[in-house]
Amino acid sequence: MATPLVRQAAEIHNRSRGDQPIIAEYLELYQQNEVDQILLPEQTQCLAVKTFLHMCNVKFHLKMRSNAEQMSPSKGLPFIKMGPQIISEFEPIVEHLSLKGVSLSGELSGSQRALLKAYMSLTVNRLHLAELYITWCDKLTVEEITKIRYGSPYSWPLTRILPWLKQQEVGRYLEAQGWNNKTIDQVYTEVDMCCKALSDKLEDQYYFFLDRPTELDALVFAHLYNLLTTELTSAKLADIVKKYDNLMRFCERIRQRYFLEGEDGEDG
Amino acid sequence: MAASMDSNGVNDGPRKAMDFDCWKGDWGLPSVDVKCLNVLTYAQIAGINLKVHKNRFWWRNLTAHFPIFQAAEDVLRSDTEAIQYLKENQANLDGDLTDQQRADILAFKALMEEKYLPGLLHVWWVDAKNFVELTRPWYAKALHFPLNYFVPGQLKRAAESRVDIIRGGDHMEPQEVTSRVYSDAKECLNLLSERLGDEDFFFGPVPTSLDALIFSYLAPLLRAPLPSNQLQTHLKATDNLCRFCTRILLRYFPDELQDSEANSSKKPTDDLFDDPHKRRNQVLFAVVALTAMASYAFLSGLVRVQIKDSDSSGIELDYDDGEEGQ
Repeated sequence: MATPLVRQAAEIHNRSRGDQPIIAEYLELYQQNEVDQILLPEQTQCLAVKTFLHMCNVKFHLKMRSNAEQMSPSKGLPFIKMGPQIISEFEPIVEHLSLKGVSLSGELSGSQRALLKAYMSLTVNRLHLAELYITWCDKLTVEEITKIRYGSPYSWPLTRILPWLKQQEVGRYLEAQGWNNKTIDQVYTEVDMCCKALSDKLEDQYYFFLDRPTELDALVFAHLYNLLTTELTSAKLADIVKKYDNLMRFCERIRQRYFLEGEDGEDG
Repeated sequence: MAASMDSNGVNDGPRKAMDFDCWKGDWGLPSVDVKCLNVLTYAQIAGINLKVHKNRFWWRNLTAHFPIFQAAEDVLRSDTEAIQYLKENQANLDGDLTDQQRADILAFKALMEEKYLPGLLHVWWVDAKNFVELTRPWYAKALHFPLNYFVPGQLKRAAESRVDIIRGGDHMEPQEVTSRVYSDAKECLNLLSERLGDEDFFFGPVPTSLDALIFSYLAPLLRAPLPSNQLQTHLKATDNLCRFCTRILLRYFPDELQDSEANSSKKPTDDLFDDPHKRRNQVLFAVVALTAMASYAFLSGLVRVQIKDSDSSGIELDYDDGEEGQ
């Protein structure tokens, strides 16, 4: 029992920073259609996972399925398929890969790991909720963008019913998080506070921790980049992010490093 | 200690009376509710005097939503807003921190909400044993008469659906949800413990709003006599967090702690039936039982009483009408 573990540990130790692809298995990443279907929150989650995989130097094949949400075991997107295993959503994927020996945060000290987790929670807790709110609770966005895109793969009665059901579901989720009574301006304030905290944390470093990217960088990049580039009914969110120069530089740096070399990750 | 903290007061203008309605305290804590405790701890550390009310105007607050913070015309109903108010108008504990440290506070707040709060809610409201044996009786006692029948149930349902929506879902068994919620909370405790290290407080020797926040999340779990205590055991095993809580309790709430120790030392004697109306209930019970037995015996004919109207003329009614009329 101990020998394979020891060997694995030795292997992990030898690979100092996951430069070579470690997972020999065929890895597939499933998401919804990017052009006419996917919405801001899912888009962000998918970009986060893609960035993370790029950072780990793990090759993957992107599969777009219009029913990806129904395929996912937890209804969350994206999900990856590694051999027989299917893992969905960002955090479980990161955890699973770290069990396989692919980790970006292995060298952090205990206190740094605590901070890493804290900032990840902050990003999820604020930016993700804000994205859900904008996508599903802002009347104009819901009517002009969300319902049309979400219902696009289905034919008539479903194209109305499914977006409505999803809206109810997101509404319940936001209510449980205490966000249902917020006004749109309060949401913008939350986003601003979160961006300010991230900007203060980042200062002029290249990455949040040490001199190399971690999963936090992947997550923050995905959120900020999508806030900047996704077409919404109002450009307020992008304007908030644009106030913070160092965050803008951070996004550009990661985009150039991981997304300009082509591969499967071109984003619009 | 508290007086020295007062020096970094932001605005020493006219101090208005600030009223604070919250859940009452127990087990050596000034309040058992996380949000109420957060504001109380912040105020205590900053040396701000709050007028604390427990069970005031319960009829105006039928959903038993606490805390309520009132300062002049402002009525704030969340701990974040209340602390923000205190920071702006009274004393700011975070004044000396760097921007990065302030960002850390926000991040840890998110961490607690995201990872730890579902676990705490689960311990308090969802876990059946704790709810039946501790939470419901406690809240029923703390609330005023008509509210005590439905508010605990309401709070339970709210907490249950919250945990379920945030952490569960159709694809998970309740057992999986439980284990996920607890493992998240335990991980969060470990992270906090590593972050705190051997320091007195999270940012060195001086307490900040982060310490008030984390104390308010940890202390209820640490002090409550929970029957089902998986998470509590884990917290008790992380030494530095326990010492951190005790440190804040000893420094800022010594009276509460003494009271609770005085209570707990005399408790074992009347532990089983601590109903204050015990004697009255016993007498009432005996009277009702005796009446029932007697009336049964009488009505079923086991005992007969014969009434003879032999000398009923012995009763004399004597009224003095004239003087009463005046």
